[in-house]
Amino acid sequence: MCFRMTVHGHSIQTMTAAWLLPIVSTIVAAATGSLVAGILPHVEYALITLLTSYVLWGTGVPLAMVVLVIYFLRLTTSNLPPKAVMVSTFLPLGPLGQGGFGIMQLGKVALEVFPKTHTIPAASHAGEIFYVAGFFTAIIMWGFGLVWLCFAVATIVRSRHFPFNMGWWGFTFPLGVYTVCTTTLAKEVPSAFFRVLGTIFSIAVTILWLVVSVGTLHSLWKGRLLVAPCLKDVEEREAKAREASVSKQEVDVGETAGSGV
Amino acid sequence: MACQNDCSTTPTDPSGLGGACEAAICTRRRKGWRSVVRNFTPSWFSVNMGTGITSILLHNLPYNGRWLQYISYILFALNVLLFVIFLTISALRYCLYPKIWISMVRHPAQCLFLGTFPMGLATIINMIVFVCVPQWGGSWWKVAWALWWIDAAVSVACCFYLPFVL
Repeated sequence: MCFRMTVHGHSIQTMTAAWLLPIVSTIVAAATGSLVAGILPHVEYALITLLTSYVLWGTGVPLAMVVLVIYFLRLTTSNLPPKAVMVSTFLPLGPLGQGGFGIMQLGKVALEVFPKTHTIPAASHAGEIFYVAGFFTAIIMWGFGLVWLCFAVATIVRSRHFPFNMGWWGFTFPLGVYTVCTTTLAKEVPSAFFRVLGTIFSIAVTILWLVVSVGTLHSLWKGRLLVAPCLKDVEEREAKAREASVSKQEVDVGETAGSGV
Repeated sequence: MACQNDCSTTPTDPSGLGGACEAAICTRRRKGWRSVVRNFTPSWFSVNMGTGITSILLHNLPYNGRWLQYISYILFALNVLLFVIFLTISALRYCLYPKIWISMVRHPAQCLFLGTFPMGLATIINMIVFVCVPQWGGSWWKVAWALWWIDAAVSVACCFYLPFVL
């Protein structure tokens, strides 16, 4: 990334969709904020939460789009992601699904809160415009998500066997938030399409959750999951420190022995 | 490249999610709760994300039924329980071994998974809004609101800091 990498020198081959994870967190916070704003009893509190959520959405979604561009470049110019991170191909659904749901839900709250608080007073229909813009943005993001869903499914079908690890939890959340976006769209349009599709996705996510949970418990039982790669540095440093202190002791012992003679 | 020697970037396990290549490293530390605490990576919060979103989906399913609601409540309770357990183990990890925190934040793949913590918490806040506030009323909106502010702060920290050190 161009603004960039003060610590690790990444190259395009080592890039994975996991780069999205820290960025999606603000989009998820924005979507959650829209739900929280809907239940707050005081309209001023709701407005503060609503505006904060819009800003959070703004910090997340455009940045996620930037990372998606890099990820697309990585997929097209380099080989497929390694098998251990194959499931991360589902991650692009996270920002698109949750972003779509978030902007729609924010619009719904804006529809109620803006007139009551006289926000954007010059425009008498400001809330309605935000509401419609929310739906418009959401359905476009849903469409973009569909592309990534196809890429992800195609990648998984193509690679067939890939080892179980904690990354498999990537099967559940991104597809889950995409499903939430689907069912929320279903509430706005008089068509059974999104409703049926949302139900199918929901069942798929539940089945995937069961599979991944069983896999996690099984791997945990076998003792394969509790391994932290970041410990390697710490342990190497600890080992070096231990060696250093041991050799120092040896030198000390040698010196005292030498002086004794 | 700073991370070339690190086994998490070798072809066997570029994810840093745990795999065969580290198996040899800490066999001697495999036993006991200390080993569990030391090896507890932030990616475990993705379990909360998965469980949370499943409970949300079952709660909001367009063609719904009472029994689905009960399953979603059970998953919600399970999610809260898991979140508390994971949070405790994580707190222990970084309090007892502060060096692991530094090493984890500097790790090119591991640090990204810090983002799973606010997202796991967000699924719980969602379910508090869907279930606890309408059913129990009272001050539950304050709980949801307070948790959301914490969640927003942590997610902003992740989003602003982690891409910068990526």
